[in-house]
Amino acid sequence: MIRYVFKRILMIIPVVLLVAVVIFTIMYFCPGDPATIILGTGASADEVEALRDQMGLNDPYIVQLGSFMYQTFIKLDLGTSYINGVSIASELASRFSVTLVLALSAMIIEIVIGMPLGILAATHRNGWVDQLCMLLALIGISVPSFWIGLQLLIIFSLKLGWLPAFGVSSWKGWILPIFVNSLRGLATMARQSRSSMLEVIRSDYISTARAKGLSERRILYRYALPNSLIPLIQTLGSSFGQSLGGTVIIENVFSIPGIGQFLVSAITNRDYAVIRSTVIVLSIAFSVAMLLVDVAFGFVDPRIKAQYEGRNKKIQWKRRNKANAA
Amino acid sequence: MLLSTDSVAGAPVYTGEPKFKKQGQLKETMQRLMKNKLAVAGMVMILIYILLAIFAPLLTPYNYAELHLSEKNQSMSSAHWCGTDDFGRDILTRLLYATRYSLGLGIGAVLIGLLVGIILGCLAGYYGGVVEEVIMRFCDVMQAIPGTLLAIAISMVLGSGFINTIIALGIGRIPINCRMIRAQFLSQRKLEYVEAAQATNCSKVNLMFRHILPNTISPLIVTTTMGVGGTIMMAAGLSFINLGVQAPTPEWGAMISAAREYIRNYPYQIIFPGIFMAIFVLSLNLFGDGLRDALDPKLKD
Repeated sequence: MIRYVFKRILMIIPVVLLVAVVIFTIMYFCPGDPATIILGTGASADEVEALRDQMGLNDPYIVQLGSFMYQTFIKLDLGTSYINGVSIASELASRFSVTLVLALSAMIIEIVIGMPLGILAATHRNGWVDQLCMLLALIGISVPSFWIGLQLLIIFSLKLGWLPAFGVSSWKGWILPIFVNSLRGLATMARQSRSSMLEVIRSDYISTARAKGLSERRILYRYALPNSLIPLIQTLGSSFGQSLGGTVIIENVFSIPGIGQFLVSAITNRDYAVIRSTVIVLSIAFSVAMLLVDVAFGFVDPRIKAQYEGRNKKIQWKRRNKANAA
Repeated sequence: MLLSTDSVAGAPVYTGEPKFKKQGQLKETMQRLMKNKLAVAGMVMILIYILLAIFAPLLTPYNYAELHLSEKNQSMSSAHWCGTDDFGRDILTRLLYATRYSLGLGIGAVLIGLLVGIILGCLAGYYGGVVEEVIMRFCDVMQAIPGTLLAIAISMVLGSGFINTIIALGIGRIPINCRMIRAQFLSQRKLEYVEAAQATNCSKVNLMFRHILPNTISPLIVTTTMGVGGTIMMAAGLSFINLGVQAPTPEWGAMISAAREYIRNYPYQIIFPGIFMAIFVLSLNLFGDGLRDALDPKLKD
């Protein structure tokens, strides 16, 4: 298994580097001159030119890319904001925990509520429980989350006054954002776990188990559930990515001081350096999450386990044969 | 296929050509689809929305962009069924016109993703080797960036506007389609009919697009239908953070975003665009679910 984990970690490195290259390249073509943005429109042409030289903006693309990659990955320096000159790395570091809490708790809700709902629907298929769950899930994936967020804000903050309308200074402030951010993933997870479970329930070994006269409970928990969970774990990584992207908008709805809010204010100010670094950092966070899911998946799925352990045994067997022959 | 063993017993000889069989499949799929009440309801709603978008100018006496500051922020009335916004524009009128733009955004972006995704997926699936490796690694990298963020980065470069937003949203869909087509190609590549086509000296382009592609399309139909809804929601999200379509162009997300300032006093300005949009996306999803069940009846219990 260590080989598997190691291999996955090695595989992620080129992806992360290429993500940085792609984002840098996309943002390279942004309209507008950073030097002019920094100095403001009042600066003289000479001043702008001097700053451009200093920032290396007159260098060819490949040199700029190289120095950007060097700064980002070797010196771990994400640069400074064009607008107010703050260090992007320290700003992101102070905001990261808020965004991570939002994204992670959304994921936990998906697992704790979404999966059981889907499984419940599958085991009661075509009954009213199934229909109710799937109707709710369908609404969940059809309604824009920021709109739901605003509606809940109107009801619970403005009309009833139970929850604060912005910020996360108390635990009450977290309730709405977490709920709203998890909504889409929750619904997706419920739908997926239902179809995954249905697929397993239809398979032959479940019929065999029934034929053996095992109790439905035992069939469900010991036979069907483990196999239906395997494909679901695989989707967890991408759902984390979705809730990470979702935080950008949700933080904006509830005025939460996370990375998303930082990004949106940078978009308003055309602060390209901030946008570039933020997108890269969030993408790396997403890749790491995918890696963790994959590794966890390797431990859960006996097929992957067997593949790697079997391979080790094969190698050992070959070695032994060689030694014997010698 | 031309001769069946039944012909000996005098039963009708099955001389159906592939085309005939395909029509049969289509008919069967349609029949299954029509039995699904929710899917039909979704389809009817989608048609209604399309008609609303086309005939918007006939349905409303107002203009979607004209300002009437004397009538601003009016509540619902017989003159303005959904009230007016902060510039005195009729909200229902704007919703109707917005259907044009939102639909255009959703369909346009999905088509871009489909077109490029299919071409790349075909190349990767057919040629394999280095071509496949390069294309698939490209997909890996594109998918390592969360969709919302990729759309944000691209629309920063292209600027806001209708066409630019379509492109920004479409690029994010390329890897999804590409992966799917490639997986389908891999399963088809070794089948006999491909070999037969190769034996008849069929050109590669012909083989890829006329022989294999039609056999790989059905899983794509469902993702595409659902994708339109997802893209419309993502476009609304972009408008919400001041990217995407710009005022005065009516778009559901932009309308919600603009009404946010008046959330305390005029909540209806937010409620109507949201409901209008949600019903449309819901119809698309109902239709998509129905299509999936109809195309692959095994999946249904």
